[in-house]
Amino acid sequence: MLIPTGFSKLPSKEGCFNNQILFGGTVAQMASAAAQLSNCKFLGEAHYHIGQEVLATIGGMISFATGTSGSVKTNRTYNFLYQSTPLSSHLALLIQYRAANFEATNVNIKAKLRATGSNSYTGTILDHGIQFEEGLDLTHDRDEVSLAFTGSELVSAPTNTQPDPVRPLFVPTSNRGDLLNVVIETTQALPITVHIYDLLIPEVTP
Amino acid sequence: MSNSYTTPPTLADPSRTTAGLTLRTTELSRLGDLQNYAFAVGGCGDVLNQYWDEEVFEIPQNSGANLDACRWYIARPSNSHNELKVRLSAHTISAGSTFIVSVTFDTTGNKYSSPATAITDTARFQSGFVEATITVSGAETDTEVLFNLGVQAANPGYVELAFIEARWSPLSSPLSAGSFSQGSDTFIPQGVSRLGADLPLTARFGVETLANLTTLRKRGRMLFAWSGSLNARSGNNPAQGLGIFDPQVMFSNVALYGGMNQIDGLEVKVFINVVNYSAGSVIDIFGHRLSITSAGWNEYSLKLRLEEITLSDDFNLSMYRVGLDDSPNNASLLLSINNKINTSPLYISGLSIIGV
Repeated sequence: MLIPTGFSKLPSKEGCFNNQILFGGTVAQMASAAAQLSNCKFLGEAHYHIGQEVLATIGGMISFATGTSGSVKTNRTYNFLYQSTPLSSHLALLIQYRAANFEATNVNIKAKLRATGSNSYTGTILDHGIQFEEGLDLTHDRDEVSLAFTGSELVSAPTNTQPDPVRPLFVPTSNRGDLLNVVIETTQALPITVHIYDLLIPEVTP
Repeated sequence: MSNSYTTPPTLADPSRTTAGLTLRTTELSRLGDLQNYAFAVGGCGDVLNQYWDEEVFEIPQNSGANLDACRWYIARPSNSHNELKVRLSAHTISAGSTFIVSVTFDTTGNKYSSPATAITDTARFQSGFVEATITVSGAETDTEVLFNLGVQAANPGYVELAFIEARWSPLSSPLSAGSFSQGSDTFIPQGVSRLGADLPLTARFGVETLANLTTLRKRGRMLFAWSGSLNARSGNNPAQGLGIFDPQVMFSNVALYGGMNQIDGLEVKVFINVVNYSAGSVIDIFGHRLSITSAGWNEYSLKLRLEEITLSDDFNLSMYRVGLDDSPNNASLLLSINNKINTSPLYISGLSIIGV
């Protein structure tokens, strides 16, 4: 069945009263509305803003290069916890970042998925993940914020042990509903926001 | 009769209810199961996420007392979701540092706190994050609550934050008998075996199902949450308020669902925390120009009036840019070189957006 993505109008409750013929259409509308809730509205998402140092006298961000932490540094590792749902199968990432220095180094952003057993940052790797490449997936711009996106292809369970070209991260069946760690490693790129989304699966076999 | 649910949920097949096909009890049983699942689990993903880069936000010791670090408004799924799990990544310079998180309910004024929880790492991402649990023990009806993070750094030294994440625990299956509440709305769980073969299909099932679906459509989803720093140590300068750069990043690209403008009660709620209030100021958020009417938290209920963004094609959903707008008005309101915090202007120290 197709998963509805909108709040369609529900049937009249009078149609369910005694002495009324309960047409299949009424039940079908209820089934579709319930599927919209479970498989669309209540999919998970997480929105991280990464705070940077600002000028003390101003108190807020006026640019994305202010202060010591705001300048691009190499080889940083970030851990983003994500509370998956029982229906989290593919995770899309939207990353706002700034990157430069393509001519001198290999600028990239890697993302992989780990379990969080014992509250560890280095739990079992669930998906060895992906790499955003300079010139292909990443934009060289010292001044403006750029956007990197994994796309939304519903990939099969990956078998890679080195980062793949960009694709959504895959959550193994046994880990759906778990607290997960989306690990992002940057080389000469500085993320400012990281958004994590469960992807909608448009068609599901009931 | 058990109000149970299946995880992951099983869907009722609408095509099985068309003319010429037998209306199987499977569909009705699954429809009951699915409602129970949506009530118990829906909205129990992340409700709070924020991150600070290295050496950005450090909280000083305060003679052994707790210092507030941040405040957010967060969504609560229902009046029965009473356990909030909070995960904090932080490290301390001296052993003995702790943090306490709490939620406060506006209607009653009641506040519920976690126990003081030890911060043990002594370097960033050294070992593991720490989890604290808030248990709401009273009968509370608010579905948006004020969340506070407090930190007690051991002397001498400070605590440096890396990130915070939180979620409400789902209700376990089966749901208890009787009715549940979500704010002032009602949800009646469905006995799944009652919908099996050879049992009458009551009018009550249909009416309650329609009411349940209406209730669940109103349940809040966190679309964006950000808090400025409330107490950073001297020489350490995280953002305290929204700055002129922030319209470029203080938003989420999120799905909002068609029909929400045509159905009552489906609105987006915006909360802003105002410091140094002065009358007559306005701020542009979510495509609306909002009048700031008081110091502290201002709340707005807004209808969708934005244009869809091109990401809709990728997500197969209607996606919108939800957050702080990039507008000339905001450029003059937000902290900037011409509007410095040390001149005590009005500024925004918190922004939370809850959709449906």
